[in-house]
Formats: sequence, structure tokens, C-alpha cells
Amino acid sequence: MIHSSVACNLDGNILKAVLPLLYQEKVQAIEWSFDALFKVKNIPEWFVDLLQEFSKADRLIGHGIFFSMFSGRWTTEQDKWLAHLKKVSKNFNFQHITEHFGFMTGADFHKGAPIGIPYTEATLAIGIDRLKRIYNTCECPVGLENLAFAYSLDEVKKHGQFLERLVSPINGFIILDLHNLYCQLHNFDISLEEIIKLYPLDRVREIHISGGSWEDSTSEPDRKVRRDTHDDAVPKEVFNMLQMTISYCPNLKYVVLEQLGAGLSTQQNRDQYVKDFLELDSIISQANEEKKNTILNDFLPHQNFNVSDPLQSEELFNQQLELSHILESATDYKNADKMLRNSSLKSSSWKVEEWKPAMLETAIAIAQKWA
Amino acid sequence: MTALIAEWDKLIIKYLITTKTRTMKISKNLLKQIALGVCFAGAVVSCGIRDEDPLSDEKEICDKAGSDNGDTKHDWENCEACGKG
Repeated sequence: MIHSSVACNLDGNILKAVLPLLYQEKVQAIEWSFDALFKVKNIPEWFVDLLQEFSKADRLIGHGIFFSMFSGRWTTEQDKWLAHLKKVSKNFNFQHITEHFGFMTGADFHKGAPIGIPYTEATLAIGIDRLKRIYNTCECPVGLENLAFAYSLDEVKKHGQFLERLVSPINGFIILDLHNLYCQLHNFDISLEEIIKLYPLDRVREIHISGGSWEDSTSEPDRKVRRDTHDDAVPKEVFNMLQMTISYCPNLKYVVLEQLGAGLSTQQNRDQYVKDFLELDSIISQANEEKKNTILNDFLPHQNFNVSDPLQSEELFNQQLELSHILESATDYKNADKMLRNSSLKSSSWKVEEWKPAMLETAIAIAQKWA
Repeated sequence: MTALIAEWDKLIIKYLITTKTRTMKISKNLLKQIALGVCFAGAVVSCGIRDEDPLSDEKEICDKAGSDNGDTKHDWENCEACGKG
């Protein structure tokens, strides 16, 4: 059975939007970003009670934001993140834990958005190492979300396969974020039919849908770049993508509506959020009626992993530092391109020479927002 | 043995509820607490209360509902912002 779910965090606007749906008993599961409360000294009891209600009913899933899966160097913040996960896993019954693909460029550990990394044996090994540690800590199924951002079409086409290579050793799963795919369909002129067959759909346990925004591009003035900003209504095309994709995911269990609180500040926004959720629920209800097979994969590795010291790559770490600095300080994409071609990333696995200028602009915007 | 069977029955019922039905029922009391917490969490609400510092003791008065943010008798049933009005 697939559950209609919401991403629900301790945010007044999100809670106000979700409240009518909770009252109508429409929300079947909650996805909680358990690492996003670091600034909150006193978590209201009612919020804990809400999480516990879903936890006790086996309807709570956890979605990490700040682990920075692919940072080349292991940090004390990552040790703390795992310790925090261990603590919340004792207090709440998570059905699974997920994180984001990529590494974070932010000024400190609690800021930033993930950007991509090269698909190499070194990054694969680091990713698998991190996933094993997450599993050993939470002892429930572990998954990774596909990334919206990509530098090149080649990267877009290889993302699904790389995700499968990452999660397979732990029998893990994928969150298929359809708005992230929607961004790539637009930004790289690729069709859904072409891209979806490159993903291991039998490993999809969760789907995300959300909205985003359009940004002007200096490098391509005639077109706009689609950004995964989570601050607007779900586009009709994304609902169409959900309709088309859902029957090809035999192990799908949760479809989650995501929206940031910043995009739910007006009653109009919140009313639209309710409409989006009801549309999601309608699609899920139909899919559940048609779904004949039970879920085939529990996504548990059924073993603990012996992990010693965390795998690290000084080369990768230094390249990430250099890339972060370039993106945070570049005046425009041409300036960034020039700096990249004179950096350690030149002629490397990062393939900076193949990066699409509009995507380099987007990476600069992401990095400078959180610097 | 009877106690074991009773525990097993509870597990079966819980399994059936959570896997065979999709509905998640949240108690009215918890919904009310969430609504109060959200209403008084620094937002401007339609009943006129703006609480910029929910940790302070200062009370703001709701003209429409006739109660204040420190008052547990807030007229939740009729407050539009809480989703019931």
C-alpha cells in the first residue's frame, strides 16, 4: 500500500498548511527532517506528540539534510550527526532514513544545498561507506534522493545508475524526486521517457513531489532555468509524471508532498498546498486500487557492516574546497569558468570543461546564497 | 497463555489497522494543541493576535475571540486561523 505523505517540520507555516489535512485524516505518513532542529532549544511537546502518533503507527520516515554524504574528508560534525540519529532513532520508530546526494557548500555545517560530485570509484566507495554507517546507526532501511542539480547531460544520464551502485551493497533504496527530474527535463532538453528508463525503478521506495521556480539565465537569455526551490505549488507536469511513473515502481511505499514554510506564508498558498495534497492523494488512491503485488523488497541488508575508520579522499576534499571557493567568489559564470580552468579541477574527473554555462550559473547562485 | 493470546490479538489488530487501512486518526486534543501552538508561534492570525515572542509573559488580547494567548480558553472552535472557523 502506498501512503500519501507530507514533509512536516517544526515550521508554523507548514503546520498551518498541514493542519486541515490532519483534521480530515488525510495524511497517512509524515516525513520529518530530524537534523533540522539544531537551533530550537525547546521543542514543543505537541510537536513531539504528533511525531510519536505517526511513529507508533509505523508511519514516520526520517529525511536528513545536513550529513553531506560525499564530503571528501570525514568531520566531527558527521560524527555528531550520527550520534544525533542514534538518539532520535531510540525515541522514534522510523520506517526508514534517507539523505541527499551530493556535498554541501554552505558556510557551516547547518547551511547549504547539495551540489554534484564526479562519478568515480573513489566517490562510490565514500558514498557506500557513509551509507553503511547510517544503517549501522539507525538499523532501518536507508535511501538516497536523486539530485536536481547537474552540470551536464552526461551526468544527468548516469545519475540513476550511480545511485543504484551506491545503494545496492546495503540493499538500500532511492527517493525519486519527480520535481528534481522535472528540472532536468527542462534544463537539459531530455524527455521523461528517455530519462526514467535510466533509473532503477524497482529500488524506488519513496517519491517526492514539490514546486520550484524559474530563474533567468545570463548565458542563455532566451530561456529560463528551472530551480528546485520547494517554494511554490506543484506543477501540473509533475502530477502527470507521478501518474506515468507510479505503476513502474513495485516497491513504492510513500509519496511525499514537500514545500518550504517560506512558500506557505499566505492563506492562498496554504489553500493551494491542500489542493496539491488532495490531488496527490487521489492519484495514490487509484494506484492502490490497481496495485496487485505486495512490496517485494524490505530494503534491509539483514546484516551489520564492519566499518573501521571512515574512508576519506584528500584529493576530493581539496577539490571540493577549491570548487566551493570559486563558486562563492565568482562574479559571474565566465569568471567562474576561467577560475575553474586554472584550478586543480581542470582536466580532472570533474570534467569542468563540459559543464553547461547555465548550470554553472545555478551552482554559483546556490553557493552564494549559503556562503 | 491467555495473556499471550491477548497480546498477539493486539498485534494483529495494530497490523491490520496500519497496513490494511490508510487512515491516520489524530486525537482532537492533539490537533487543538497543534493549532494553539501554531497560532501563537509568531504569526499574525485572523483573530488579531500577534505574538512576536511566545516565550514572554506578555499577553496579547484577541478582540474577536475574546481571549488572550495565555488563556487556555482560547476560542479555538471559532478561530479561522486554527482551521475550524
